[in-house]
Amino acid sequence: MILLTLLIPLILGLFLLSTINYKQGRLAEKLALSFMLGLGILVIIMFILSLLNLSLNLIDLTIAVAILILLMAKARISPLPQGEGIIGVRAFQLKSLSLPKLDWLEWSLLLIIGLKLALTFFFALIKPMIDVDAFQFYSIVAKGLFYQKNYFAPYLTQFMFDKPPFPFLAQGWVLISANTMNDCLLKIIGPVLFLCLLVIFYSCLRKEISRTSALLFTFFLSTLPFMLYHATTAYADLYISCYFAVGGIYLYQAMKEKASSLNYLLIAAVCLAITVWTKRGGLVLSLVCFFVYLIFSLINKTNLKNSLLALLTFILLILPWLILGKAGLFIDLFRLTIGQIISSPAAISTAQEMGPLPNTAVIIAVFSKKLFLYADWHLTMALFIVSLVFFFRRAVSQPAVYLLAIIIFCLSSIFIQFGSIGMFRWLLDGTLLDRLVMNEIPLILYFCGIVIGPSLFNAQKKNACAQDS
Amino acid sequence: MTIKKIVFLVFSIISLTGFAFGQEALLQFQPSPSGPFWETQEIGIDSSEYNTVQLRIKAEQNGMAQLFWATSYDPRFDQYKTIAFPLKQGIHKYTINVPSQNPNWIGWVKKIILLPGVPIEIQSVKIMRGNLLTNIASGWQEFWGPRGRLIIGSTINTIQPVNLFGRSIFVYIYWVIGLSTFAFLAYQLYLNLKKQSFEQIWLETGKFTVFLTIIFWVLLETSSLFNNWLALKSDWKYVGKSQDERLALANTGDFYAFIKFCQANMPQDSKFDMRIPPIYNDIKARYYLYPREQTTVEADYLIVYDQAVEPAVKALCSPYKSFRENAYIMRPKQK
Repeated sequence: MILLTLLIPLILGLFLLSTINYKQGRLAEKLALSFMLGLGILVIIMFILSLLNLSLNLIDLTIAVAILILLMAKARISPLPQGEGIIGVRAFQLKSLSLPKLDWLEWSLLLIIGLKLALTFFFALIKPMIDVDAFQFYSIVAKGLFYQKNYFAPYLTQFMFDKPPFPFLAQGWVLISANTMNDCLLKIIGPVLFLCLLVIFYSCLRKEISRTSALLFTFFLSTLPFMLYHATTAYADLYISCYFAVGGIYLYQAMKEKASSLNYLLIAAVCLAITVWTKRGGLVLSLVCFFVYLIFSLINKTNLKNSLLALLTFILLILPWLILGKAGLFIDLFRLTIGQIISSPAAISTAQEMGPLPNTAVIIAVFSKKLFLYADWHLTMALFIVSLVFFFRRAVSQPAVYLLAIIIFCLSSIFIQFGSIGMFRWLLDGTLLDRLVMNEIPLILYFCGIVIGPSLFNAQKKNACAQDS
Repeated sequence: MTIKKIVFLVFSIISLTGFAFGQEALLQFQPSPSGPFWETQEIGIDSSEYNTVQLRIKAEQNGMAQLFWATSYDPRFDQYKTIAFPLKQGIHKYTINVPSQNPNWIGWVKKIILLPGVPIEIQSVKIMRGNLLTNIASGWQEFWGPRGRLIIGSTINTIQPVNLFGRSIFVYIYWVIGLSTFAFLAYQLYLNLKKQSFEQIWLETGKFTVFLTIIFWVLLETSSLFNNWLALKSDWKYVGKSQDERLALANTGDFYAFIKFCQANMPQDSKFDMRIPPIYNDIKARYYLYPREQTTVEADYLIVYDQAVEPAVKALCSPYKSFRENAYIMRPKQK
């Protein structure tokens, strides 16, 4: 039954990609992207069905997915060439299954990436849930969905607070589709999303740099201890990191491929919309991306119609979440962003108890220690600094500079969102900082890849590799 | 050859300096009558003179141990004055340069205790002024020690780094990368400034730094893989087990057995209140017992697990089912 858990989002995503008419990627990239998009859309379907007071059982969900697939098949942007399947399945021939010609370094990197993935699946699936927040919030609601088949069951709402529904519904989907209350399986979403992220990360990077370099940076991503740990839990931090990273990567692709940017833009819009569904911070991250793209569009005079279509897709997808009455949350976020602290009596009282903030030097010392001296990211931050210092020209070239802007604005937004005294302590005491920075880490590595990657292996090898793959 | 001899001679002199001028004292550890730990008598050791503890321990199996000490400034044994280290099965020597791993080794040390996680026998304990060799042994042991390697429970907010001489391993890596980069740049400028533009040299230096970073990344990853191996060994106990067996293993003591007992004795559509010590098992109980809903008003059952029930509440309830002493289910009298 667990196959069904993965298969239905995958098929839904394949049809979505077909509707968008995305043909640029390789098969593995399309499959990974399909699963991520399909799961996001499935969650939105589950939410809408709950709003309509319809039962979230497997049959009803399958029918809803089937109806959506039919609608998408009708709404394809342009017809497929004759004989080509929904995502260009014609490319999936036996010859494409033959082993690529890799050198020893590439095999070694691939081996370690595979090993880390295998370990991630093992640690996630072998043991039951052990993380407090997962019990306290997400998994009990997922269990509730399994028994009640309704997201808005009164008892469950007390565990949701104002958290966006993706983690609850995605975990609920696992239990409903597998028809079991096995809480080891609840965690399968994490490793699968991580696998998808690695595949997409490699595939997109490969479009710009040699295979060895792309594998090297994918190896970096696959070995980040903090990310791996989160892939084995049932928290929401990995979900937001994966969707935001993929959204950011495709937005970058859209900026790079100005001529054929529409399908990249649409994929980015869908991923960024799903980011909003994963965690509250997703809205800020998505808005930063759109803000940077707006600047890019104004400078480069891109096709306005395409940009508006992407924006419309984004708004349409987050609309169900907005009309539920969560607009207040966005207003709070906006107020925070423009610097107004929440002035509730509780917040003021907490702020008074906390006393004044430590001085700037202390704050910088704490943050530096967290970012540079902990084992969360290995040497990602050092690599980022190296890319900015030694490869400055490439770092500020178009369109890499826009990716850099997204990273810097998103990192800065952490301090704006948590700038009030009452909330800043969550950054200082280490509760939130690393988890929030994790959202940007894949993009930072991607940026390092496109900036440093071309210098690591010579052009001759790059060409040879390009022919190979 | 001459250089090798000089290096060997200098190294030997440095190593032997500690022995030549080093003070050394033997400490007597006894099993404590008040708990599962070993302790010294009241002692008075100047921490600035003696910084290294060397223990010879016979352990029945692999496990962990924690060294605690009380000082003239702070006579308590607490989490601030402790060092954890791994124990290996058999007889082994453990060397700990205490102040390099914990800055609270200050003033006069009044007493030391050792809390082992597995049955042990302490064969001898020396306290001394460390030398190069003992410092290396201590650093090596610290590097492979539990900090940054074992994840106990959840580590959702951060992953601790491996330490060496009390500092994160990253500090040393950044120093090596920084100094090497600087040296490489200086060397390139000295050698090639007339042949190449500064920009080319700068780019070459960047590539050199990236390759150094890759090397250290691979080393860090090797260390991470060792951590993964430890985690794999720890989680292997779940392999081949049924879901209920896994849940029993993932919980401490008889907690999950108690949950099963509650599930068997409370209908799925019932409501319950609970007296379970926070902050972990109470959350778990709420999760495990769902679809039974937890409520603080008009509950059908009150489940109690190792926590006292307020007399006023107890007066309103009567015993229903007992799992064991201090773990039972009650029902409101009017029901």
